[in-house]
Amino acid sequence: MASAPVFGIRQIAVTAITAGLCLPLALFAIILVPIPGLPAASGFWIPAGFYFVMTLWFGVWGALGGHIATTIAMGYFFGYTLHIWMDGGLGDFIAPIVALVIFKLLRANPELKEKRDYAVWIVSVMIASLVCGLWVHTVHLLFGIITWPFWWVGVLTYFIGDTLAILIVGTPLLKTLTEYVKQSPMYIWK
Amino acid sequence: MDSRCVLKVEGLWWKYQGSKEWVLKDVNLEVSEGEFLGIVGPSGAGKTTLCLALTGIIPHAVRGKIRGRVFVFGKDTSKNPLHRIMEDIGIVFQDPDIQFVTMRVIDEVVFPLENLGLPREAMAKRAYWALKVVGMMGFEDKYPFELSGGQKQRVAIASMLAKLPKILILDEPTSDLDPVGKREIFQVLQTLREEHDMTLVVVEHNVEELAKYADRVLLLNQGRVLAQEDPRSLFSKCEYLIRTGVYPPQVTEFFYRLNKYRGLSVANKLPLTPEEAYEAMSKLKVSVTPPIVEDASKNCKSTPIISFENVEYVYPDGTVALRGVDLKVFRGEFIAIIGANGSGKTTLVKHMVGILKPTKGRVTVLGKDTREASVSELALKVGYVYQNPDHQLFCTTVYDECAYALRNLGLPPQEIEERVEKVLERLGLKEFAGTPPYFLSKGQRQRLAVATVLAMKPEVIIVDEPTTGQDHVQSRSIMELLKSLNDEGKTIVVITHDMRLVAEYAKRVLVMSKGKIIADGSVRSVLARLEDLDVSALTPPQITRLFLKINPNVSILSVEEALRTVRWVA
Amino acid sequence: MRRTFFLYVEENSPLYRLHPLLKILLLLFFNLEAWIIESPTVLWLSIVGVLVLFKLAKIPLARLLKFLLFAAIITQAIMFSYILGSKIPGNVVYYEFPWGTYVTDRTLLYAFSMVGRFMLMLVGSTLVLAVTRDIDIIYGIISLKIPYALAFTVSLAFRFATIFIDDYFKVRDAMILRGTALDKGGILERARKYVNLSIPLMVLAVRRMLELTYVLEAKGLNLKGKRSYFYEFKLGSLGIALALTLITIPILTLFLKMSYGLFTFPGWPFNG
Repeated sequence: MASAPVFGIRQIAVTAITAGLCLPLALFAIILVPIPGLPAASGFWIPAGFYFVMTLWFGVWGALGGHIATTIAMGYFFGYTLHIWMDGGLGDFIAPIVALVIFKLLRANPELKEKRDYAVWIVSVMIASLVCGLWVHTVHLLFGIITWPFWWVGVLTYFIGDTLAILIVGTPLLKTLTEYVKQSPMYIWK
Repeated sequence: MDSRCVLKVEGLWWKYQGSKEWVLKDVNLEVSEGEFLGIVGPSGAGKTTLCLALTGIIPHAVRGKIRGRVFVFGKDTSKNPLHRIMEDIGIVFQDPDIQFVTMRVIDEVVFPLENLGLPREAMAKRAYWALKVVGMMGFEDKYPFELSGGQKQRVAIASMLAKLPKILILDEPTSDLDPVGKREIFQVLQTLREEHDMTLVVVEHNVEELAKYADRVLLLNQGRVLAQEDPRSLFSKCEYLIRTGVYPPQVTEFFYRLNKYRGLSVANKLPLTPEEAYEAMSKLKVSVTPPIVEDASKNCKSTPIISFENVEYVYPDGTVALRGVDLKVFRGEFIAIIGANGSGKTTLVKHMVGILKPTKGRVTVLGKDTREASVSELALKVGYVYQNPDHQLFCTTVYDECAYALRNLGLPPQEIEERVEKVLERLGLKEFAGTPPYFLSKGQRQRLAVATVLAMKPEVIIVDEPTTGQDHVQSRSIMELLKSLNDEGKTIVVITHDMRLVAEYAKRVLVMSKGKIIADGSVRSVLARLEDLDVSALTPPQITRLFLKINPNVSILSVEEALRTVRWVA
Repeated sequence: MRRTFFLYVEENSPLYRLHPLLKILLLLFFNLEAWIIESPTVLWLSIVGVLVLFKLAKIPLARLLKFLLFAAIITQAIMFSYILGSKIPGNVVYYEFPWGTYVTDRTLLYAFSMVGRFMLMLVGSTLVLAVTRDIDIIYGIISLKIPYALAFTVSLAFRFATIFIDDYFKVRDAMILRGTALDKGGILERARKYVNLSIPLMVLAVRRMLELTYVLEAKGLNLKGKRSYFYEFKLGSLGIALALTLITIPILTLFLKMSYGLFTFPGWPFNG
């Protein structure tokens, strides 16, 4: 059998389904919990919980799906701008990969069977959210959307908001569904 | 290999990666050029896996362990690249939505041709030809959400046809479709067979349609081929089939039982269609006594528990889904709502639970106007079970799933425990209390969906399409459950396309068309005049059609009733 | 009338008939211009220019009304950020906040300018998307020599979003029917409810993922070999000229701004 190409049918399926799932969730998140003063942001970024988990299960393709969903959803409200692509779009691509790398390096189990797995999950989400928060608000600042005093407020609220959203949505998904998802041929922890 | 043999399976065994069980066990099969092979079997028999193996998707795109070989036009599927195998084969799956991978009909049909690298002119020629074959010319620019399930499935067939495959495999192509969609698909298959001499392999639960068209039917159970014979011969083994979980055509079963239990040889070969059965009956010296009919109007004296007064509903996009609906539902009724997709069935029942409020008119549930009641308040009285159980199971264990609504109601823990245990016991799910719902089989998930509603002790239970995508055993099991709840006094409202189950279980039938109730009455009276109504896609069950043809005044609902009706004339 | 992302436009609309590559370039053009220009006068004049293009493209301006809410969100967001969190010296100080920032006449002008910048991006991209079909995205991305696999994935994402939206509403209704008030409670309370909503959505996603691979295999999705395309878009000499114009103007704008200070706002806070 021929070896699978780097971005083959399975990878397209993971990316497109993740993006398709996260796209409406991102739109709902922006409408339901908007943050005054921070365009295209949501106080509870529901899709992050999904694409973080998808990335842990299926690799970087989950992150790419999150990136596509975020870019399209944020652009729908705030214009398909270079700025949108760079800030939320790229930020949401980098963050789950950071978490995946930490998970892989520390050899944690996505099924969250032991206390150590929980600890790695929480720490990886916190680091990823901080990295993403710094990225997003620096881009905002460079494009002139926010002012300096809002930079650190933005980073802090982003860090807290994203960490909570990912942990609240993602933890039960990992805990309850990993055993089921393990049956999928796309699952990477085999 | 036989020169006319286009598809050959030799001792095929297959198990999915991580699975302990072999899904296919020593499958041997040959399909000749131009043949129509039907595949039947209960859920979990391995039918879809066999289809994937016939196309080469197994083992190329699915991980697992394989033994044996599959040849397509002499090419070993495991030794040839998948795209080479796919040049000769097309496959259509069950879910019409997931198969639509582009945004417009024409793009969907040309997509496989673009992948083949064909020149533009050839693509256009083939695509328009394929659309014409499936009767979808004029729909080229339509989006998936502008099409019905049957139309989407016809587009899926067209997209495969455009490749000009020599073999077309269809895996339960009509399972998700309403009667109109089912009829459309079988008409297309008939065209392919008669005008294009295509080799067809069709997995189907609808044995009555299969019996009409197939040259040969293969019976699969637990991964093994139990039989492969011509339809008449296979469907004549009624008891054997029913034990396996496959129900034969009603008229075949009727004649089989007539033969067996009356000890008479009433026909040399058992009929497969009502027309054949009518011919066989006309040769017999029998009289038909109309059954004694219970008074269905006795409930009407009580106060209605749900009432619609001149209800109109318009969706935000302007679609008028209900037009002047008047309806009274009485306590203890078992109502079936039938009609084509888009006729307003689901919109009607969503008004009963208050998810939708009428644009005009009034809906009252137990005397309360639904516009003045919250959905959660109404949900205590009227339970609603979705068509796809996966849309309503969101907890981490079966127990929590049943307890979810009760916790929201703020019931004391002891009462929650009592209710949940009782309902799980009742539905045979007690042993799964700690299991996550998504690990259950589809039939079990469907039962769990009913359990979550039952735990709330509603007076009315509405079930939307409980039989879609289920085999006959699963469908019957869910209907038996509803019947027993009805016997205990619950009011049941069920939406279904399965006319056989409507006839056997419902007491009252509502026929919907274009947002209106165009017929409302006892199941017997409605089925008797169904073919006169302007709902061409709805046809009564085979046995009803047979007896109506014999005597237009005799409306028979089941094989058992038919057997009681026939009297031998000396 | 032909359907696009946002609406139905007339088939003979000149913008609808543009080459997909030009549509992408036009999108980039509006964004780059909005990013480079600081002067509120030029920005708002450009917005008027785009509105004229709406007329030329035969897109009823009334269609823009559906984006009013989004425009209002952007406006309030920018005003909020500048009024509460900037220190821009001006002729008149209207208000000083206890945390050290203040509002001057220039603060309001800057904010007005920033709103103009985003309005130009919004109306510009809305104009382009109003004449763009999904197929334009695929062909536009391919014209930029980006791999087909990525273009197809983006188009698939749109397709599946419609399926998941349908799922979302079904699951949400099922939850409401079992006594869940999704829109009540604090943020954490709402979050807890969304967790329940997420489980069936994720299960459906994972199931569909596998089915989708079978479907794509069956349709012979070709990522490595030669594939052909059903639609033919010819750029033509006029198209090439337009493409060059769309590339040149932003470069020229930037040059004029950097060299001669045109299109600038004196004292722009991010000019260093």
